[in-house]
Order: sequence, then C-alpha cells, then structure tokens
Amino acid sequence: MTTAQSNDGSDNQQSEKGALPDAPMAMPRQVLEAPRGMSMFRAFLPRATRAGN
Amino acid sequence: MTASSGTGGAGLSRTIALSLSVLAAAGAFMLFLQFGMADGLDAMDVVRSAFILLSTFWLAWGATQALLGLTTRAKPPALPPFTGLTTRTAILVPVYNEDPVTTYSRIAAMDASLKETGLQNHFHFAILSDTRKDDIAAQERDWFERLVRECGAEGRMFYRRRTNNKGRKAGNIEDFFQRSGGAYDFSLILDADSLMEGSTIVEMARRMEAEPRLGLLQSLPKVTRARARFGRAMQFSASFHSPVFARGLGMMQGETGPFWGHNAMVRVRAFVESCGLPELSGAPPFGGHIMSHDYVEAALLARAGWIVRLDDDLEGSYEEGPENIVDHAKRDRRWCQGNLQHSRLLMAPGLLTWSRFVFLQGILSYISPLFWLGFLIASILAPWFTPPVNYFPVPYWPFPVFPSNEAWKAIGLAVGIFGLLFLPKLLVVADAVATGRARGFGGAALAIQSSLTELLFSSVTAPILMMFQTRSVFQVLLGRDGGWPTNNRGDGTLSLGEAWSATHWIVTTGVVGLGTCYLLAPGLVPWLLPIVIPMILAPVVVSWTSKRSRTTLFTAPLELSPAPVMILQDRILAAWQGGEAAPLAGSEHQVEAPAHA
Repeated sequence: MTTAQSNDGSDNQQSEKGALPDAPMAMPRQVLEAPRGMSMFRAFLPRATRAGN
Repeated sequence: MTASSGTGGAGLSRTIALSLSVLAAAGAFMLFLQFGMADGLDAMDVVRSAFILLSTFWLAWGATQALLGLTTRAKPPALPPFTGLTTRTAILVPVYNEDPVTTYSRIAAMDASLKETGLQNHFHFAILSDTRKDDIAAQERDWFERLVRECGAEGRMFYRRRTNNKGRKAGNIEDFFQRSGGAYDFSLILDADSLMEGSTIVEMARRMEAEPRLGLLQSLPKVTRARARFGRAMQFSASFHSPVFARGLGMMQGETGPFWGHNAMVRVRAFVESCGLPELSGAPPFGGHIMSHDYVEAALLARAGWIVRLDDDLEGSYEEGPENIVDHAKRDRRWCQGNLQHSRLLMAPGLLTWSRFVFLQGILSYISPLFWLGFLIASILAPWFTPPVNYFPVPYWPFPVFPSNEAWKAIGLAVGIFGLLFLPKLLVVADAVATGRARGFGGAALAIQSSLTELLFSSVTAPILMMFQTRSVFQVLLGRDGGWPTNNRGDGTLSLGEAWSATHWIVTTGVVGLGTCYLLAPGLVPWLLPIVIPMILAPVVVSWTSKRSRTTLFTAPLELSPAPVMILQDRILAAWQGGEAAPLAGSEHQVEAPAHA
C-alpha cells in the first residue's frame, strides 16, 4: 500500500494497491458563470442578437 | 445509422418536434380558454389555461420523441475493416460504500469477457474508491488482492481510495485523470452496477479510433436483474419503450448528444482539456459542486467542438435500477437537485444553444409536475373567481342569452392529453409486434399484456412519484441540500411500516386535498380521484410494489436469455459467496501491460 498526495494541492491522502500509471495531466477549470450582460435571449438566440456565444 | 444523425438531420428533427409541441400546446391553451370563458372570462381561466399550455407542451415534447424514434432503426456506423486496436483504455469503476464482492464480480466478468476477444491487454481497470466506511474499505482492499490474483491481472487492475472525496464522483474521476490520464487514450466510465460485454467495450474503442473528432460515445444501458414488482415494471419499460424514446432523443441531439454518467467512453485528451468542473459560487443546493456533472460535461465537450454521440445500436451494455419507489425517489432527489442546479448554467459562455436547451429540458422534467399541481389548485379555487352569469349582455335586448355549453371542449382536451400520454406507448407496442421485437418479451400476446399492465401500473404509481418529485423541488428551492446518499442495491423489500414512514405525508396531503376539493369544488371530486386514491393508498402501493415479482408479466429479453457476461458474473459471484475461487480460465496467468501505443 502506498500513499500519495492529490494533484489539486489538497492533502487528499490516498491508499492504493497496484501502482496506478504515473502520467499526470492538467485539467483546467472551465468557466461556467454567465458573463456580464448575458441574457436568456442572447443565450438561446445568439444569431438573432448577434451576440455570438 | 446510430441515433445521432448529422447536424442537418438533428436540425430537422428538432424543428419537427418543436413545431408539433408548440402546436399541441397552443391548441390545448385555446380549447381550455374557450371552455373557461363560456361563463365569462376571469383570472383563473387565464391561469389554468397557462398551466395547460406548459403541461401540454411538455407531454407533446415527450410524445414527439417517441414518434421520431419510430421513424428509423438503429444501425452501426460505417467503419473500416477491423484490424485490431492501437489504443489503450482505462475502465473506471467509481465505488462509494458498495458491496465489494458484487462489484468486483462484475469486474471479473468484464475482464473474462474481454479476454475472449483476445484484446484484454488494451484495457486496464481502475477501481476508484470514495468509500467513507472503513470496514467496507478494508473489504475493498482484501477482495482486490483476490480479484487480481484470480483474474491474473497484475499490472492491469488498480485500486485507490481517496480519503477526501472532494467533488464526489466527478472529482473522483478527475483525480484519476490528473494522476494517470496521460497513460490512456480513452476511458470507459462505469458505475459500480455497470456491466458490459467485452466485445461491446472493444467495439466502442474501435469507433473512438475511427472518428478522431468523437469526444464521447454513450451506449444505451439496459436495466437488468430486477426482482421486485416495481423494479421489473421499470426494467420492462426501460427495455421495451426506452430504446424508442432514446432513439428519438438521439436524433434530435445529433452530434450534441447525451452523457448519462456511465457506460460511456470518453477521449481522455478531450475530456481533460474540456471538462474540468469549477465549484459554483455560493452554497448547495445551487452552489458548490456540480451534482449532475454528466450533462455539463457533455455540454462542455460540445462547446470545445468535440462530437458527443449516442450509439443506440450497441448491445451488451447493462446497469441495475432501484427495486422500490422509495429508492427510486432517493435517486430522483439527487437528480432533481442536480438538474435544478443547471439553472445556474443556462447562460454559461460559449455553450451551444442545444446544450442550453438540454439543461432547460432537465429542469422542466422536474418542475412539470408543479404545473399539474398548479392546475389542480387553480381549478379548486376557480369557482371563487367566477363572475355571476350575465343573462342580458346586450342592452335593450328583451330575451336572456344563456352561456354556450363548451364542456365538449374540455372533454376533447382531456382525450387529447390522455392521447399524448398513452399513444406513444401504444405505437411502440404496435411497432414491436409488427417488427417481431415483441418475441424477445415472451411473444406478442405477453408483450401486449405487459405493456397494458405497465400503463395501469404507472398510472397508479405516477401520483406518488409526482408527490416525491414535488417535495424534492420544494426542498431544493428552499435551499435544502440532499447530500450524497449511498445507493441501495439488491433486495429492497419494504414492510408496510417502512412504507408508511416514507409516505405518510403523501397520505395526509391526499386526504386534505380531497377534503378541500369536496368543500370548495365538489364537482371536481371525480376528476381528482385517480390522483388522490393512489396517494391515500401510498403505503400499500409502495410496500406491495417492493415485493418480489412472481409473474411472467413484464418479461424482458435478458430474463429469457441472459447475456454471456451476466452468466459469467453469476458464476463468479456464486463461487465467491460460496468460498470458492472464481471459475475463470487461466486465472494464474500473468498478463503484461502493453507499451502505450
């Protein structure tokens, strides 16, 4: 059994059996909060409003 | 052809479905308004007509999905001749306080099934534990050693447990990608109760290899191993009706397809680059971790330009479902919170319009019962708002003018609404009989009987499920977080006492609702009875439907002819529970992991 630290920087101690391949990948956080000025009309009818997405 | 047609086909399907639904909703609105106006227009007529408009749109939307689904058949996509795989796939099995013996028996069966393809070296299994109970975690570790030994899977099977289950299932998978994602091209994401044929897993990897723009490939899992009356009714419905509805949905979704969180393969690079989920500002239920992460991940992949596809022609994909109404309601509570949380994401930047619409659909699926509830309440209150009848509306006209009888319009509307509810299912029956699909359900006669019984069964259980759903919506709106309860799997028999403690509030609501209706609008009582009687009998219904089913009704194809991987799992589980080694060929054989292609 081994212990390891999580890649998100937290102290997420893990127990492990069978060594998982060590091949880290960065998983960037996506932006999901609505930008300022976004409206339902713009969101659902981007072409009509020329707001684009 | 798979369910997902190209963008053009999806556009046409969406236009047809939307047009028919709007037309049906507008027709229902006008009919009810004319009915209500017969004795003079009042505010409640408008309110009730608006509820009818929303409810009919939602019903028609579901019905058009089935109609679309009946217009085409599932076919595999055109692929180059198969010459083997060049990629490596991680099969991820997230677990959370599950019974490790049963879960691992599924893994052993899938591994044995993969070995039959001769391509097992292209697949690794990773058991990703978020289990919080130390005794179960200890069993997970002990049984993992046995699993690896008996499968001869040293170097191909891994187990790791997080002590901090940040981000729940999505965080669990993300953690794996952050540590080991670079070692794999694809990842098959499963649930603890998922089971898939090795040949299906290989075929999915083959399709991912063949289409480099494919970011996610979703299979259509069939519900299996139900034993209770409720579970078997759901299993029958999922086997008999869902493929048609899913096909219609897939046709509309096109390349912006669904992700249901499991039994789906993702391209690791696409997923890692596009699907890092942020925590939403604020506290749960609307803030915090994204609960229904699968819908969001599908939308994010589509936003980044990846194809998300449902291939409903893929056989050999299985899952298990809740065995009783209470377990169903618990799962539904989680989904309800997750879907309502999507209201925060409707205006997220860059999403495709269809992805936003999918979020909206998910929200509507939970708040639509509120439209019916609103309609019922407004109907009970309506007599208080009705203006006195004016028999002399024309000045100086000496004869009375009696209000026209518009009752036929209300009756016509009721017939139309029942048609939207039942017609799609009846058409699915006709299609199954005509195409011979009904043979898998015990023959045409039994399939028809099962389908009609399922209509009756769902009519009785629907008001109870509607009440659970309504409570869930109110709980979320009032800010109550449902947490992350463990799924109950296996026998879910409920005694009358247990059913009473889960549903007494539904009984009370039914009695109070019926009494109020009798006092305020006695004429509506007969219309209310089909809803109120199941509510008042909820404990009996919940307990009775949780008992073991012993009828041939609801026979599903996998009950008559279990899939090879299911038979494998049964044998392995029986051997392990009997204290024996799993009956696996070459279990002592050590398989070397291949060099990464």
